Amino acid sequence: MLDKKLKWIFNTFSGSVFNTVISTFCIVLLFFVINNLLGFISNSEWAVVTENRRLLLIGRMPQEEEWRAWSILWISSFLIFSSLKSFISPSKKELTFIFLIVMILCLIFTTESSIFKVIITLMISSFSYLLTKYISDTPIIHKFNKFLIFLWIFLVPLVFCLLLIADGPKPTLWGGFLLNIILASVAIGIGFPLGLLFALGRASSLPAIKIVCTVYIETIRGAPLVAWLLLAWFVLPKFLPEFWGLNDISVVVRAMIILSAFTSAYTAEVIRGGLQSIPKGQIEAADSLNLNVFTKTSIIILPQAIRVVIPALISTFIGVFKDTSLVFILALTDLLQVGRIIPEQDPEFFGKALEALSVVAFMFWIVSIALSNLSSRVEKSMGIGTR
Amino acid sequence: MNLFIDKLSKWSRSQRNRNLIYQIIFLLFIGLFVNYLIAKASLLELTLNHFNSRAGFGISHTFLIDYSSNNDRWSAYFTGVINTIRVCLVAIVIATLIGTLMGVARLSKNILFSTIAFLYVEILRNTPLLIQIIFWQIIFLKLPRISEALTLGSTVVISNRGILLPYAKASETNSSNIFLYIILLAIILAFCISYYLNKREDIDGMKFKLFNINLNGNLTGTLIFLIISVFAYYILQKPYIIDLPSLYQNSKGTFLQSGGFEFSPEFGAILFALVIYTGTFITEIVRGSIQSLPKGQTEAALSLGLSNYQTMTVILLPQALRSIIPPLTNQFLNLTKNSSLAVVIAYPELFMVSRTIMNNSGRALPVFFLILFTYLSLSLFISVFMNLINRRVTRIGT
Amino acid sequence: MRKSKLFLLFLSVMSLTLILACSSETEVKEVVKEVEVMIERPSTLKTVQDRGTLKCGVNDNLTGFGVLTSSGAFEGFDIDYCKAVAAAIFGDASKVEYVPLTASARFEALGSGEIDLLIRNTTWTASRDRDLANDFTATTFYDGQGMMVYADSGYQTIEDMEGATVCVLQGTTTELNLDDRFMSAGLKYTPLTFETNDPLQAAFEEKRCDGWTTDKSGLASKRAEFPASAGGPDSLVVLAETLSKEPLGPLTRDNDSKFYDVVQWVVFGLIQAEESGITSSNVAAMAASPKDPGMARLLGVPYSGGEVSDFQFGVDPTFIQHAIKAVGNYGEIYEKHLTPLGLTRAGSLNALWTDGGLVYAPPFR
Repeated sequence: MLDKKLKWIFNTFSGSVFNTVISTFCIVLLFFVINNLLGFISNSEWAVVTENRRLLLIGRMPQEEEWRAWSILWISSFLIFSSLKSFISPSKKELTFIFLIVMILCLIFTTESSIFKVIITLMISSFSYLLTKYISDTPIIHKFNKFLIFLWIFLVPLVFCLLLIADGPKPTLWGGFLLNIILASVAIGIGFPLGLLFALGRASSLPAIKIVCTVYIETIRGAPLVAWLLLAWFVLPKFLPEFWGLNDISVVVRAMIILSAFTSAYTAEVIRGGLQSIPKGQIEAADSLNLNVFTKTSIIILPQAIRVVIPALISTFIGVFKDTSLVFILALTDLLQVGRIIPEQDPEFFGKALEALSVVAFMFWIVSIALSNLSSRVEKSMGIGTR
Repeated sequence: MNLFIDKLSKWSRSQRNRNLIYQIIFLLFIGLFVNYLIAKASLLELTLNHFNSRAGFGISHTFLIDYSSNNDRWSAYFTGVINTIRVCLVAIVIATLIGTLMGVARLSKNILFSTIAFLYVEILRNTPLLIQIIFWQIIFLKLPRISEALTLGSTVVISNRGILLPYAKASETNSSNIFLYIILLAIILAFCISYYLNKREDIDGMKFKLFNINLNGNLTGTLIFLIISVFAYYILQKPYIIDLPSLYQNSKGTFLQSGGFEFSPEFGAILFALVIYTGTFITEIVRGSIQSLPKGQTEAALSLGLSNYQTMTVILLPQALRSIIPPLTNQFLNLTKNSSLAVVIAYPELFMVSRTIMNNSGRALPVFFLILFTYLSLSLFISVFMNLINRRVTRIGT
Repeated sequence: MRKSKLFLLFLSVMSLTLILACSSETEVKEVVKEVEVMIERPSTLKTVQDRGTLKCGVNDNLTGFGVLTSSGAFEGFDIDYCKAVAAAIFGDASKVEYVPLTASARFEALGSGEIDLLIRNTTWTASRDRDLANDFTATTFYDGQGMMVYADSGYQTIEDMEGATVCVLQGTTTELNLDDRFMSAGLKYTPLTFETNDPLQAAFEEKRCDGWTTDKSGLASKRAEFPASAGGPDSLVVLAETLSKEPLGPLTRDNDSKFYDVVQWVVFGLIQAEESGITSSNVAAMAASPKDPGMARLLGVPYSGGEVSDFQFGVDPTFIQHAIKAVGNYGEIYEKHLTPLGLTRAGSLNALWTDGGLVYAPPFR
């Protein structure tokens, strides 16, 4: 064992002068970063975060509406943890990692008043994980998996119901991390099917459809998202029809429209890559079976095309999730915007901007890293990148 | 009537005819939609006439254009465009370098090196760019304040107002423009000559000879450029002199800094953030491309006795370049678009300047079209340029 | 054969949809034309009453005027005016939906209908009145642009500030005034233009800029809460010079006279209330037995058993009474939010006209 470690150190530092120089440089760099990081952590005061937990998580949603956020959290933790066991079955190492992250989150965001609800959340999570583990060898698991998939599909509408039923708070009051999650799920939920259509349109043999789809995709991709969001703020209401009060829609809905359009253009581009990778023989075979266009597309082409691009799709979705932080331009108080405001709000938090920012970054990072791990799992199971 | 339906159904039996109908219907719908948009747009003011009026606001970073608030809004806008181009150009070059380095590091046998590259990608790729921009701004603001500014002799001034470096400045001889033109001509001339010489060498298989001296194309070009510029510099009586930065106190005792080349915290923050964020993506592209090369390439190179370093730079990277360039172009386009986020840290790039103009004029839509047009042309320029490179790279291999 | 029948079906459905689409399209066009002809749009007052809430565009980070507290509520001088208008329309001050806005987004937010009323320390200027699709109601606060510098910098006038860096907000008149002032003095300066207040404040705290320019009231509020660890309020000086006149007040959309009138007269009503000595604590008693007919008209109550004089504002005649009940009179609002910032009222432009100030309400008659 010791021998192995020595060998490792030897390998790292010897071989060539170049190798030694690089290793030494890496050690200095690592030392510098870790030293600064430890210095930052030991010198920081987290009051700026702990006093503004509510704002960070749910924004300006009134206190008496908090139960909505809690029930969403409970449902999604049930979903996440049972699917974790059911579809991913993480290794011990990964489980420890997840446990650590959950603990850190609890540490940051638990208050005296919410400790009871946090415990419920933790119980739901572990219970659903254990339940799935328990039934994973029984025949019920197939039904259970179907139920999970069904629930995943209807999660976004369910969340909306929870937010809107019984005279819920105005969308402009949604904020914090909740807003980022909602915006991202809507953008992906609407943008992905749309993107599919646009990709097929762009690959279509009919020139009219092809041109229109191409123009759409390239125009949207041409300008930065902030510019489009600004358009949603300034100009979109003037272009919406007057009837049904469509031109009076909330700015949150406008952000959703723009984000969905944006997502659709980017996913279309990704899926197009998948479509191009399909061997021509597949299409010819389908044609020779005399399948019509719809069957051919939905059974032969799309499943293959999407399978190839799943990793790229997930990284597009990660991008969309990160891009939801740009809604600050619409004066929406999303997680990052809250993180920017709170250090300046109170004189006692002077100079605590880095603390607030690091917690915000951590929250974004968790979701992104979870998704990107998912993507690399898919990639591995498909055997890409192992050559 | 029956006959007509019969004929129609016969006519529609051909796939081509049916496709035609689908397309016409589709176009009709699109046409209606566009018509609706135009009808709505015609209610708004769509001209850019107001761009000719006085701008009236100052811009903190001016480069190439000598902008003052007395100029019209067009020059304010172009100041913004140049600021965008400036930060994007520098960021693209550095991000490519860092990305390549880290991509190679990711595959390195040196575990320390590859771990650092791995952490770099996993941590920084998964946090929003906006957070990174704000982070770098906070870091740059933590540089010493101007009253405690660091100075290295009188050559460099470092404070959170900006890092000042020595720079060339036009002297009072008024010949600086002529000098610039001569330099430009010299560059073109040097390029032509070295191109010609290299071509001759390719064709003849031997170096071009003049007075019995073997001429190397690249060397000759560089020499010609140097000779012309040095001569021009002295003939024009030193059109440029060195501009040293200075830190001084005014009559009230307040510290001020001026002169030299200013590397401002805002520029630094957006540059660092863009470089490091885009660098993570380029790392993954480079890693993926190298990994997708057949393993035999590495083995063959190593068995020929090439070192690890040589294998990478001579064998693997040039081959990987072919599959690197298309996704790399995409990253460059993203970088350009992402530069618009500088709006949050007071770096006046084109998006921020147009926002100010939008506000002062109250006419959002035409300015938005202008923004769209500008970004599209920037993107087009990058794509065309990268396509040229791509064509060259793919041609070399075949 | 089946296929071509299907196709025929598709064709007919499509053409039917197209025809429908065409007809609805012409309708839309007519509506568009109507809008062009019809200058009078549906009154915002009606829209607000139907909706049941008032959408008020406010500042969320200017202590004293509008600030978002950590409990998620808004408070401040401007916020109280939102409450007053809501109380006047609904009789309930809580029926306000606050929309926090940046300086650069506020006018478009009002013009696009995102908000009904803009009360966000906005300066009344000629170009804004003309170019932008909004109307300024009465002035609630007479302000002026000032310049705040660090006390140890030794700057006493703008003329001292040659070569200085000045932090300023984007999309404000301050940005333009600043340029005018330095241009006319022939001074070089670097404007550092920020999109929002928070990064600007952070930059100023780190001494990235020499000066910070905005409305004097805003400077006073920022100075009062300047963190002690960055030097505290005493390390800052607001220069005596006023760079411009900045009358601040609520805005409504253009050609929206009914709503405009309500907002304007709520503002005047609160001023008149102070003049007549009506406060939030004694308004109920005053309404029960008004001292004179003028007060009765103001509060919308009968004077000694007579008839109520209704001004037909489209809201309840007792609207001023509700507003006073909700937030108090002008003096009370000022006392609550602005006096703690160190903005003394006595002797300033914001004293009542009877005390030599500019705060004056036209007669309620």
